[in-house]
Amino acid sequence: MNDALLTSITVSGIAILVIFLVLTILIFTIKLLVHLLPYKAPPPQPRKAQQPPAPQNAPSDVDTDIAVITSVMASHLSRTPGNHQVINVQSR
Amino acid sequence: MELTFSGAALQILQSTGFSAINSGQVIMLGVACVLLYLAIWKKFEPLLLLPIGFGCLMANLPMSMMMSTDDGGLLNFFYQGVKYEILPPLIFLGVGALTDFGPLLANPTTLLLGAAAQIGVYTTLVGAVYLGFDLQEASAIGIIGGADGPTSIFIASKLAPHLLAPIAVAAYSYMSLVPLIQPPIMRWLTTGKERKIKMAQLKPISQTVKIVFPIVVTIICCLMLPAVTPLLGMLMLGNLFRESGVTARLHETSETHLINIVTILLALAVGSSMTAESFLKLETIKIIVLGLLAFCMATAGGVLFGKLMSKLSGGKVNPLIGSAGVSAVPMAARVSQKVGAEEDHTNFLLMHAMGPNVAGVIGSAVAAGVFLSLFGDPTAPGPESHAAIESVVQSMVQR
Repeated sequence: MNDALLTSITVSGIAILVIFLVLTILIFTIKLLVHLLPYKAPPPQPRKAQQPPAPQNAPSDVDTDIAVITSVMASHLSRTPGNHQVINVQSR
Repeated sequence: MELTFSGAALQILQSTGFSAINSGQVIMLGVACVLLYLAIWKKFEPLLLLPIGFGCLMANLPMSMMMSTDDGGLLNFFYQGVKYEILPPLIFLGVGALTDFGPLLANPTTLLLGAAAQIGVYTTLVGAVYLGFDLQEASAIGIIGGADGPTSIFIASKLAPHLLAPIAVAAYSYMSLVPLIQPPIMRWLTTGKERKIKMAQLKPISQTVKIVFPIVVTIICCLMLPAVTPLLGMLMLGNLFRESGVTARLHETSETHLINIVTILLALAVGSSMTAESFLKLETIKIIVLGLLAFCMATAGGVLFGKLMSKLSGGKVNPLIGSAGVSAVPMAARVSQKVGAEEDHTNFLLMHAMGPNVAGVIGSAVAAGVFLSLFGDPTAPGPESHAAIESVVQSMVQR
C-alpha cells in the first residue's frame, strides 16, 4: 500500500472523528437548550360568548330603521313609501 | 479598402464560429444538449442543470467569449463569484432561510445520522487517491458524497479548481438521481420488520430555542473549524432571518429572489467552465464513477448507522431515516418516506427524516471545514485576490 493511500485512510479516520465530535457537542448543546428553554403551549384563546343565530327571515335592527325612516320621509314629502328608497343607514 | 465579392464572402465566412469550431467543442455542444434534455424532459434538477447546460453551450461556441477563462467575457465575471467563493455562501443563506431545524431540534440524536452519511465522503476520498488523484483533488471529489452542490463547488474552487466542472456536474446529476440511487440500497440493507417501525411523534420546540440554535451553532462550529464560517455562518444567518420573526423582508428575499438570482449566476458560471480542455479527460469519467460510489456509500453509511441506533434504542428508530443523512434536502427525506410507506402505508417518516436531512447539510459543511483545515490555505484567497477584484472593477470604471 503506498504512502498516499495510507495518508488518505488516516485523514478519513481523523475527519470522521472530528465530525462526530463536533456534532456530538451540538447534540448536547441542543439538549441543554431544550431543557433550559422548554416549550410552553400558548394560552387558550378566550372564546367569545356565542349569540344565538338570528332567524333568517326576522328583520334586523337596520331593516327596522330603514322602514321607519322610509315611512317618515314619505309622510314628510307627501309621497307613497314606494316612490323613494333608503338603501343605507350609518350610525355615528 | 477594396473588397471583391469573393473576398468579402470569405471574410464573413472566416468571422463566423463555423470556421473556428473544433471537434472538442462539437462534443461539448452535444454534452450541453444532453444536460438540457435531462433538465427539460427528464426533470433532473432542472433549476441547476438547465442553466449549467446552457452555460456550457454558450462557452463552447467559438469566438463567443463566454468561457470562464475569457477575460472580460460576461460569464468570466459570473465566474469570479465562484473563484472568490461568493456565490456558494449566498446559496447557503437562501437554504438557511428555507430550512426548518425544528425536527432536528426535537430529536437531536439524528445529527449522528448526518455525520454517519459523511462516510461516503471519506470512502470516496480513499478511492480517489487509489485512482491517482492527489489528496486535495480527492477531497474535492469526495465531498460529492455530501450531496450538497454549493459545498462541492466551494471545496472544488478552493482545493481543485481545475476539476470544478466535472465535480459540479457529477454532484448535481447524482443529486437529481437520489430517488433512483437510494431505494435499492435502503431495501437491501434493511429488513421488512425494520422498515415498518413507527417512530414516536416529535415534541414541539420553543421558538426561543429555534432562535438561539443558529447563533450557538455558528459560535461552536466556526470556533472549531474556522474555515467553514463562510458556508455555515451564512446558512445560520439565513435561518436566523427565518426564525427571529423580525426580518420578514430579509427572510422573504433570501428564500426567493436572492437564491434564485444566485442560482442563475452560479449555474451559468459552472457551465462556462465546462470546456473541452477541462471536461473531455479521463479524470472526468473517474469523477463520475467516484461520485456514484460516494452517493452509494453515503446512503449505506446512513442506513447502517440508523440500524445501529434502532438496535440501541430498542426499535424506536426506523433505519430508513438514516439515508436522509445525505443532504439533498428535501428529496432524500421524501425517499425515506416513500420507501417506508411502501412497507406500511400508515407509516409517516417524512418529519422524522427531515431531522437527519438538515443534519446532513450541517454535516457536509463540517466535512468541508475539516478538509479546508487539513488541506486548504487558511490565508487564501487573501488580500491579493481582493486586489484582483478591485483591478477588474477599476478597469470597468475606466471603460
